[in-house]
Amino acid sequence: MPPTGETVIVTALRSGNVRRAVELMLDIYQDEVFGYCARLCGLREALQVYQHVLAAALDALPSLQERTTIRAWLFRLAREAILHHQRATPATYPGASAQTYAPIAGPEDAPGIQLRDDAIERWQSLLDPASIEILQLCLWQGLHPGEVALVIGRTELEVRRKASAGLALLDLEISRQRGGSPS
Amino acid sequence: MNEPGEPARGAEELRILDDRGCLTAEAVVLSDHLLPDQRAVVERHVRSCSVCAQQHTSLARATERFRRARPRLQLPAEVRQLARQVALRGLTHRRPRAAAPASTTARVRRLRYSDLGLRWYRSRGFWIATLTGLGTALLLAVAALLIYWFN
Repeated sequence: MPPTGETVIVTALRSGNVRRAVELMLDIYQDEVFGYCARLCGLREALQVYQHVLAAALDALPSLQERTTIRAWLFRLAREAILHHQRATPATYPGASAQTYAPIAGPEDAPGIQLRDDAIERWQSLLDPASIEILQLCLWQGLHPGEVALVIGRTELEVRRKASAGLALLDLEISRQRGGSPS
Repeated sequence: MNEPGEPARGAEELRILDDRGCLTAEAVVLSDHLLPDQRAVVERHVRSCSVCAQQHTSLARATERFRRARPRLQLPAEVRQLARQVALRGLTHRRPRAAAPASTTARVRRLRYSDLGLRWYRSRGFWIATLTGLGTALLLAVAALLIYWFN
């Protein structure tokens, strides 16, 4: 089985080759983490926030020992940097009032499709911010529930419970929108 | 660090079946991320229980709908490149310098003028001794002149 991204980074770290580990980390996770920052802070602010994430990562990477995946650890750093940025500049932070959600739906490989998704918008207004964040991290960023638990500082079971409750509510909204009875 | 690809079992064990023998919602949701043995239990149960199968379908539909609502974000190539440069520059600036312990640094500083033959003339001691010697010689010369004059 070919080594995964995490494996090669861990191998580089264990052999003391921090530069190689950082290069690999950037190759593998930069787009994901930067995209996460950009989605929550806007593209203009994201570079500044991302610099803080990298500074924290570079400081801590050589001594990273805790039982976590590097991806979850990077997302946790990014989340902390975003929250810090939000506290520092609340007026300009796009996610200050709500988790950023662009009401544009459609398959990612069909950029021409832009549908207003009323069900999603209504559903988000019913949910608590933690549930929205959990679902975004799981389904938009592709994190495992265990990783989400590490990122936001909750247990995996809590993450799953909130995700399932949130999705059940979304299904109810979808059924309402269709005019049918909830399944 | 976890071994890559290995989902960690939470501190609280995930319950797959509830007291009625049906799947818990937590198990149904995000079932892609279950451990293989857990996923096998879910799949086996869904095949035989219509209630859980319906719940599974319903959550899968909501999951897909939410997944498709993800805002598309195209990172400009120059931004990606800039972010990478920032990281590598930060790494270069943070590289550990030639690790000289403080005591070594102090010793080197102390040895700088006195211990290196070619730079002895730059030491403070040398200049104090020289000036003291010159001053003494000047005083002796003045004293000798005065004695000669008055005699």
